[in-house]
Amino acid sequence: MLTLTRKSSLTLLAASLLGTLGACKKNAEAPAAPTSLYERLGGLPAVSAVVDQFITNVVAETMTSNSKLKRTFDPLVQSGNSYRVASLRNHLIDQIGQAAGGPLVYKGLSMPAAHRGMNITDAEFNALVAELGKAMTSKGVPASQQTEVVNILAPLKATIVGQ
Amino acid sequence: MLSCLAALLLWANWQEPNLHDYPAPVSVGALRLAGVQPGAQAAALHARLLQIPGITACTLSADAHALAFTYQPDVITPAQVRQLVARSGQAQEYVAPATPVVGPQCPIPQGYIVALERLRFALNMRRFFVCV
Repeated sequence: MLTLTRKSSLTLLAASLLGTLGACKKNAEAPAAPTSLYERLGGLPAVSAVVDQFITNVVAETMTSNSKLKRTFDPLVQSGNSYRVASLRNHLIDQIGQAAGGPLVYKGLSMPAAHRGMNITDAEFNALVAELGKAMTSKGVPASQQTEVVNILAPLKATIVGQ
Repeated sequence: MLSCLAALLLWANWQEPNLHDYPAPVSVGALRLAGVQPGAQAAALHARLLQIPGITACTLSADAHALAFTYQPDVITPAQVRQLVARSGQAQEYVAPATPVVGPQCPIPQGYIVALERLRFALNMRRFFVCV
């Protein structure tokens, strides 16, 4: 009985191994799927580089005399709490990564919940998008991919502005 | 002891890791500069700052005398950046940051939360199955 069980286990193992090999072969033969925006951007190093640049752009913008982002970002920047800024960076990496087709999901608050009570205006949102555009340009993201990123994020405007 | 270890592993592996867990953590610093002319001088300083290990991004607005940078706290401190900028030979003036805004704060120190997140990521075996 024991021998029979062992034999059947071995058979199952062999079958699963063969199945796995077969699946691998099938994958290898399958035509290359179109790469996601995440991959075309350059993966995590590119996404985190763009986000870091975006954050420094925003902080520098709040230091200008005619800043449009000062009202929204000054409490964060001047809070003296570096973890809050780091948390914003982390959420942006997660969110842009997921939106661009990256391997992991954003687990933060929904956009209305995250921006509730902030009363963000159209002008502020547009200024923020402009800073994101500048960040992507300075990190060498091609214009077509910039448009893709903006198109992905544009629908979020309705859930951020006026909350 | 074993059940504690099992619980710890279960907690760490319950969810997939976050994308932000993979790159090194950064913090943000800002300085006021004086004496940096827009154009070539500002571009040179910007390029020099980006060469400094630990600085991941930097924005220099010479018109607004503003410098913002993200840095890896494990590699470099804002004070070191300040010194490096001052050593560049240009006249810089540093304005102390505004008084921190006092308001409702999380009762748990943020450092503890960050340490817990790092521990969770370190013990999360699912990270080996994600290609970032």
